[in-house]
Amino acid sequence: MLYNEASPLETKILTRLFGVPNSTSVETYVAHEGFDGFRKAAAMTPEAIIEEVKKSNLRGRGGAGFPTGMKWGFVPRNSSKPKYIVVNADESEPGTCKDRLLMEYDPMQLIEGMMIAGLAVGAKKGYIYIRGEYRYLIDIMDKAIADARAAGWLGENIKGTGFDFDCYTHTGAGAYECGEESALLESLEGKRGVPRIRPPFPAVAGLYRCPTVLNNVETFASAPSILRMGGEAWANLGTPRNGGTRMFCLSGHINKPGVYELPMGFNLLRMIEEVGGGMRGGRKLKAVIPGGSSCPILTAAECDVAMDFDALKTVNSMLGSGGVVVMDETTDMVKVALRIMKFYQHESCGWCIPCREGTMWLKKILTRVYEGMGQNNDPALLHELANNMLGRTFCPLGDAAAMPTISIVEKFRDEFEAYVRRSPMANLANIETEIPVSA
Amino acid sequence: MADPVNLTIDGIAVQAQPGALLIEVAREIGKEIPAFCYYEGFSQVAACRMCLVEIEGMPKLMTACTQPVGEGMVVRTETPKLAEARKGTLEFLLTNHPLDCPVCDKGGECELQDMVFRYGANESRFVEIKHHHDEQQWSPVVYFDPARCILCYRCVRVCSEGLGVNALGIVQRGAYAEIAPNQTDHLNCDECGACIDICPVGALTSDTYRYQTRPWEMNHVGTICTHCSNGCKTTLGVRNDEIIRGNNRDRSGINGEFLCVKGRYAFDFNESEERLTTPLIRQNGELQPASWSDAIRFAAGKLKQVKEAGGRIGVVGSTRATNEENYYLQKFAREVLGTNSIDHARSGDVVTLLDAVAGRTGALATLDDLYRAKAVLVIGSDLAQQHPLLHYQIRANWRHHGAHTYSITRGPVREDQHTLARVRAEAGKEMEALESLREKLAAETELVILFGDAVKGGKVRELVAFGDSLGFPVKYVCLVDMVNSRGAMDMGLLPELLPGYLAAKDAGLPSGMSIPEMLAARDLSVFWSVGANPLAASALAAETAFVIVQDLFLTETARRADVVFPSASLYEKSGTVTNVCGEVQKLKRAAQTMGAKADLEIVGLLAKELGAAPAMGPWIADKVMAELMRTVPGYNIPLPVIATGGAAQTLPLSHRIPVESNPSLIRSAEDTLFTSGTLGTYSRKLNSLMEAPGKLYEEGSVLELTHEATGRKDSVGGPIGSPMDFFLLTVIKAAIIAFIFLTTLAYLQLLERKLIAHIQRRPGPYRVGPHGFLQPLADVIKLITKEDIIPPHVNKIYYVMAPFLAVFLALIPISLIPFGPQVEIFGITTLMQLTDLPVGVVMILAISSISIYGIALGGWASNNKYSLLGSLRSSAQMVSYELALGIAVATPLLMANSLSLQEITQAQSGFYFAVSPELAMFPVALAAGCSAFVIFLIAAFAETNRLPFDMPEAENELIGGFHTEYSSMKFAGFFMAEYAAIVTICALGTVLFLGG
Repeated sequence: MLYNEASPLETKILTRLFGVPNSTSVETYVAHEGFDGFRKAAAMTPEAIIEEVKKSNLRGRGGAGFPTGMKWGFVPRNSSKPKYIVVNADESEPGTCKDRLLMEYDPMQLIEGMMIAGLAVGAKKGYIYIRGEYRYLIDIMDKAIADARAAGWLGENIKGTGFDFDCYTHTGAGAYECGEESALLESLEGKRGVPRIRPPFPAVAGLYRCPTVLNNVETFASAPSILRMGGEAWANLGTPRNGGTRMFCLSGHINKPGVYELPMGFNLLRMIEEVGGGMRGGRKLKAVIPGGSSCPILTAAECDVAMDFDALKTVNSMLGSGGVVVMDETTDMVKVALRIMKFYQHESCGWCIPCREGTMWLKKILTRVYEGMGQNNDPALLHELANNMLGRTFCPLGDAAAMPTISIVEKFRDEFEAYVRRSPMANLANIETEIPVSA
Repeated sequence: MADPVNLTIDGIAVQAQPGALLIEVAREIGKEIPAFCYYEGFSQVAACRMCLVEIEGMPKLMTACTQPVGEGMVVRTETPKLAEARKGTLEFLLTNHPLDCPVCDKGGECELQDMVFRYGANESRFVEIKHHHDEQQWSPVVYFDPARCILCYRCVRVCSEGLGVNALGIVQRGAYAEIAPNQTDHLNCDECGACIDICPVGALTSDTYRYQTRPWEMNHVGTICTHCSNGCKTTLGVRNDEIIRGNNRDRSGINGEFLCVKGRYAFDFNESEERLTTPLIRQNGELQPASWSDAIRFAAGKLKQVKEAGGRIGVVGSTRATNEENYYLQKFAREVLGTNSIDHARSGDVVTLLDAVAGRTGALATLDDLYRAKAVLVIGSDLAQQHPLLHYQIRANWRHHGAHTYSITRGPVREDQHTLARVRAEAGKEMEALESLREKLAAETELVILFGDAVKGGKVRELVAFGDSLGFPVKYVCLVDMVNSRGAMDMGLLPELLPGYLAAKDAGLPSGMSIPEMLAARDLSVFWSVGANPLAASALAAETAFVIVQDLFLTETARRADVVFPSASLYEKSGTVTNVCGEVQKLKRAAQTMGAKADLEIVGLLAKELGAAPAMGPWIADKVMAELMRTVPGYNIPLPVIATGGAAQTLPLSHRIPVESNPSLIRSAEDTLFTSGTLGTYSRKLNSLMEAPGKLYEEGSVLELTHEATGRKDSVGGPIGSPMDFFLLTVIKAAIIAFIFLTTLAYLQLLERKLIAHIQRRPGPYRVGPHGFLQPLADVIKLITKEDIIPPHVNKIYYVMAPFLAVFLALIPISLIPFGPQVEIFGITTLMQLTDLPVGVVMILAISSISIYGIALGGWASNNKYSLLGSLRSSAQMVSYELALGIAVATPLLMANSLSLQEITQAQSGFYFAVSPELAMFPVALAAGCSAFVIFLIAAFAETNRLPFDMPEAENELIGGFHTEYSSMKFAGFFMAEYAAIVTICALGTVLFLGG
């Protein structure tokens, strides 16, 4: 049973087993070209595997879009320490829900991707760090790992290739921060989930300070098809420098929300109209969050844009994690800003000052404005405080909280001012007296 | 070492070692990059985001605390963009930080306060309700105010990384994150208080200091902790002679940021209500208060009588007294009393170790060696409990340099956290255990071995032989108990050995008794205990022996005494102490207890009473130090090093020690973190912390915490002496000083006239009295009785005021000049100084600056343009030379690190800032001191209008000076002021440059 119907516009590569009966079994997977990528990789040198991934123009699907081949290449080949593969399955970005489907319908594909990465860097162990709220996925993943092991696809000397590999699941405890790679590693090591100072990056000193390849579920899941199809063929599916297909999670005020696999560079307006079935109730489009709540918001006028990492940069936003949130004309943007800030305030780990105190303050101001007690300098103050956080926090969470706020205040300032105008407190900030605070 | 990298910081080209952090490199060139969470020596957290800097080519601002230097890097640490970023961060911090600075203990020394002063953000735009948590008490000493906490994690790191205690952590997250103790709502830890000292704000406060005072109301005196043998420097916060705080926040001294619970809190014995403040004499079987002179006479009389009768005298010295005191005591016992029965509580076999390594250099480790050695072996000691600083140093070595550590102990110790190999050995089986480590130790290239009292006598020689067999340099530390246990041994408080471990029998002295022998000797006539408590556990066999005791408290020994002298604590005296590693450090007098005297002075008074004062020499610590430096082998250490707050290790012994030590006399008291011998029982704070003393070798070495105080009652007020006494004393002192001073002025004037006359081949004043000796008297009578003319055109009020102002201002500074050290007159101990102002020098400079007003006012009030011009001329001269004077004075201030004239005098013990051969090893200091003195001298001549700077009063040549319109006594007033100024400036010069 699928969550949403497939769209005819999709390019089904990662999702080719979605809807196939018994898709999580080893047999079904092998019957659909499963482990072909691994077999191919096993016959190649590690350098050649990495070269193939580089050719594919695969960029990290977690949000930052760093070229995956390059990341694998950073792992020091002759380090005496053990090397690890870690899957970031802590999918917590609001608006994003793709990794869970990849694990739910096709766990073998993820395992194969980890094995290929293991071949590429010489790792023998992999960990899948699964978000605490995705507990049901652990059963699916554990069963898949056990099946793969029973079928000889995990363990020692896999299928006579001389390659040893095994993997394990690990659950998070519900912190968004643990989706940040270094905090994830801390959490995986059993410590408090706060980010680490980087450099050194995980490729050099990751899990237990050993070289570690840490990628998103979708990134690893892309590896088998890259090896199977060849890097260039895979790259050609997308746009230059943005290879392959990507899972887009359409949500919000559209008729057919769901997760769709589309080629990189797919036009956003087309995505809303043709894939998502148009705006619900025929209302007008107002704004779109293109890649999860951390990304600067796009106004309707900015939506005629190709969905890839580079094109979205030209409109000062990001592709992020592929969570497309569509909002129609009835949406209250102050409420949107407040809802986003509530999330980040709750999820701030508290490690550094600007994020810890900034998110709290911004939430308090937004709450006050939303509740009709705004002051007329509040929009400017929100903008300035968010800018004070931007680029100065320990990890990207602070930026993730600041960027949407800045963009919403800039692009929908009139809505904030309308709120403030109605407030009985509006002009208090101009009066040179103490501002009364209700206790 | 790798090639240095070149970079530019704020336009300054800098070279630095690769890997060095930007914040450190910038600090070295004097650019202080602000930071809360960064703390040298601990892990990086980069949480406060204050140390952001701009680096060319990097798009974002970078944190200087995590950024290593790079070749060609161009860094800017202060730009408008950075100031704005830092202000923004401070504004965030202040949103939930309560603005309770006026009642916060940290106010005045708060890093957050300082940063806000520097970057602004003092006006809040935060109109929301602050997030508040209530204050919590975590232990008898630690309080936590979460609202003030800025989450820099310094406390967490010092506790886990620095001390290995791991008592602090973080709970909750986001804006609700806070520091929490290990037992949910209270702490189970060493109670060392490192977290409190390291806290940049007032979030962690201590029970002893909170709400007591403000930092600027205290004198901050750096001295040496009186408890264990590690010899940590502690900065005592002293207000009105009362010690309020102990810490080492400035990280000076051999211990850096470290202090244990005793160093931080166990200073309160000093104010204990049980302190003795008056001598006691046994009369009719009871100890009765007596005057100092009676008590001294009584004790001295008995000593004299016994000596003449040839009775046996036994002397026990102190492990808490200074080197000077112990040296003086043994000298008195041996040379004056003629006894060789002098001993102290021996806690480690230093004698055998020194003999085994005699003639070698570098065989004895310093504290710095513990931090740098590649490997360390601990035998038979629970360091974290018994020698906390040594534990801290070794742990820091392991953290920073990855030192290999080994231990041989009876049970679990905290070093187990990082030892490479540990062996559990029962007492007495240590040497066998050592053999089992041979293979591992042989693989090292360098080793420091620390051993406790389990290794003594022949075993020490075995140990050194073992060390020699390893084939690489091995250094040793013989662990001893108390702050000056090592010094007591060095100073010859041993019946068989003289100071510097020379044989007593070679000096023709009779054989002496050790402590057990003294206690057992039925024919002992006098038993004299100085700062020791030998009768705590055993009785004196000689029931009729006369017992003299010098102590702070009425100890078990003092209760048996026939005469008890109240002595000063280590915090109340000057002198030097030698720590467990043989490092000599200097004390600074911090507090004062009325009625108590330093042991040195007590022995000195006894010597004087016995007529032995000339032979014994003065009982002044500096003079004794100068003597013992000459006479005690190993103590010819560089004085300036210790005078400026450093530690100098005693020189290695070049001779073999002719006497074998007796291992049966050596036993450690096994004090823990929460006990400190007899002294510890008088620290209420220490007793309130822990119930059971001495739980060494416990799992994790963390003791069970009990919140109940044991026994000791609380009481208010200390025996400092009544305010009336103090007032009367000050008035008497002022009267005496004024009399001597004014007479000096008169005769100084006569002397000058006589001298000038002599130069000019005139007789000078010769009519009144023999050789004109009564001339000043006649002058005064003449001037007073002479008609006082006030010209009609003058401004009367100011005209009359001017000479009085001049005299008054000239007399004030003399109240600040110290004439000598502490003295005792009629049973009252006082400084030979009217008042020892902590800012004495600045006060004198300030007063002398305004003394110009007397002259300026005189000229102006005269309403005569020649007078006015004259006064302006003199003022100009004085003002311009004041500058030179001020700069010249700054040199001794910097060298002494103090503004108090008493302390400056003390700092020059044994050498002078002006010129001194001892300073030759510091050419810069020598040159600075010398040139400053010359400048001072020239400026002093100008300031006091002496030749050739006598322009202001050269009436003959100039016709009109500022005093033209003055006559009789008012005219004389100006000259009195001038002569007073001469005396003051001479006195100041002597204090600042010539050792006081």
